[in-house]
Amino acid sequence: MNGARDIFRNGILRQNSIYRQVLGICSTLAVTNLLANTLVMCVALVFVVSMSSLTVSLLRRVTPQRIRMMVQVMIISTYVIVVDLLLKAYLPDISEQLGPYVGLIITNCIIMGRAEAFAAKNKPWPAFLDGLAMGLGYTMVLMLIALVREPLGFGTIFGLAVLPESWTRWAVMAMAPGAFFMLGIVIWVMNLIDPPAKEQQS
Amino acid sequence: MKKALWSAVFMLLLSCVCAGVLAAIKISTDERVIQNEKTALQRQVLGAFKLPDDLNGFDSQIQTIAGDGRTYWLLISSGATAFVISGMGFWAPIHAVVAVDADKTTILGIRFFRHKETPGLGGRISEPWFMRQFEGKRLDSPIRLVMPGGQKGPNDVDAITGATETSRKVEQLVERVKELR
Amino acid sequence: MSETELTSALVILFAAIFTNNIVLTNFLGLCSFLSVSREIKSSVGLGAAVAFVTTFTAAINWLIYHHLLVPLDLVYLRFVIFIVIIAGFVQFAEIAIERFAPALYHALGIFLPLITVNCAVLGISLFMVIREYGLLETVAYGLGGGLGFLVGIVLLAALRWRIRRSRVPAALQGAGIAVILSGIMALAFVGFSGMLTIN
Repeated sequence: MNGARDIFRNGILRQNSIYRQVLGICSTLAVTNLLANTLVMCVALVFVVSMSSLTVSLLRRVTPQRIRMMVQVMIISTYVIVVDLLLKAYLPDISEQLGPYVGLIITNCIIMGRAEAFAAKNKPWPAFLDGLAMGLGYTMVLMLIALVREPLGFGTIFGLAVLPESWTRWAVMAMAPGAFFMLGIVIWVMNLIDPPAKEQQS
Repeated sequence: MKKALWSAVFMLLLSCVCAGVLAAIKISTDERVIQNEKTALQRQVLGAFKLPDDLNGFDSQIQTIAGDGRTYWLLISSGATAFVISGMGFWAPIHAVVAVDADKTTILGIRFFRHKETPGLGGRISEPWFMRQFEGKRLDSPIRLVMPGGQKGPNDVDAITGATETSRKVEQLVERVKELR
Repeated sequence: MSETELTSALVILFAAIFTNNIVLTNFLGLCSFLSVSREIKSSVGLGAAVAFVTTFTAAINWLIYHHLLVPLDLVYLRFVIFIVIIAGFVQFAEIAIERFAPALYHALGIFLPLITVNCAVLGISLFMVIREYGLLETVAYGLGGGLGFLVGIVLLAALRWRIRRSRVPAALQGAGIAVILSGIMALAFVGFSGMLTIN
């Protein structure tokens, strides 16, 4: 049984979902061209992954084995819809911009992965922390990518202009390829700083 | 048999709990959502009429008329009208509020308020500089979108560099204003 | 079915493969995209299976959305309903493939059930709702999206095969270089935009 500190270190660094496990980038990479959108998506994801892990763990003793995947999907979808409803009510502009990507948190491999790999076999509090840690590790990387993409692509940070009008916007950063390249660079740098141990390469 | 039955019952119970929670949240946020949409649209109408962004003055200055499936906004002081037009964009439908003067000959203002065009390229249609170009354009002759650097007539506006398709779609959308005014 | 609807559907079909590729433009389906592209044969198999699933689930979800969810004001439940439909269809596809093409079934292994949580499949259904497509356009988009995934994953697999003898820095091996290659492919695909016009 891991202590809280171990769980956090694992989630944020050792087994970081993005540059180590390379999971779950699907839904959020698309919105990393704007910091505000990235932040909202990440907060939404942290909420869903931690609450889902908590719920799956709470129900782990009573969930029938054969349908546990369906149960996980149902729990995750419910939390995602909760987020979607709340966003529509309290942050309608951002909800509009995020479009279908909020819904796509359901298929985010991290959430299903953690539910299956950790939450289903551990007590509620560690499961919750694990979800939280994985979510935070995820947030860290995506905010970093957005921190490069938004200024280069739009000349702004959180919508505030930080570069002069004369700055030629890098369309490549505002569009898809930029996200791929940034992700590749992040993976590269993080693997250089903290090389994965032999046992963790599976 | 018992296991399968328990599986089914469990699934059913879980679905009910989830559906219940979601329905509860939906009902409690519904009013807010409708209010949000209404105020958002009203702000677009104010923008199209070139009025200050003050919702408190909305009802005193503008009359909302709903008729044959469409809603018009009438600016009481000048007789100008505003309405919503929609047309296919590059990726998804583009929705705009257009305000025309009382004679229905000139565009007073336009607000592209809902679209899914490429951010930074086609998405720039909702930037103020682009929308401002349409003010004063006449409806009795074609309003063309011309690439910057091309021959621009008095009733033409600048298209968006790198967004040829979106610009074309906007041109088609503006054409339809004539049919609908 | 009018002529413009047909043209529109055809354009959407081609656009979904090239100018609006579900993986290279919308970033969906990356997980399996990056892991399965290590091998060309499994890439072809997975791509074809995904295309099969996306075409049918998009159509089924359209029917359910417009004939059930909208009339009953249950639109907010679409996420759950769509994913359940997709899960059910993949289960059905699994059984069919095991019966009629057992070699393919064994080749795909775990990746077949994983199509259920492939963001691309759910994404296509969600985009089809947002873009307010008709039924024919939805089928075209479902097919095009799936084919776009197939084209993308096979291309990436081919590229990874080509560079297997190159000296990739240790820190970039595996996922890192795959992502960079995807970025270059995405850049190339951006060149397609402007080729097609949707009326």
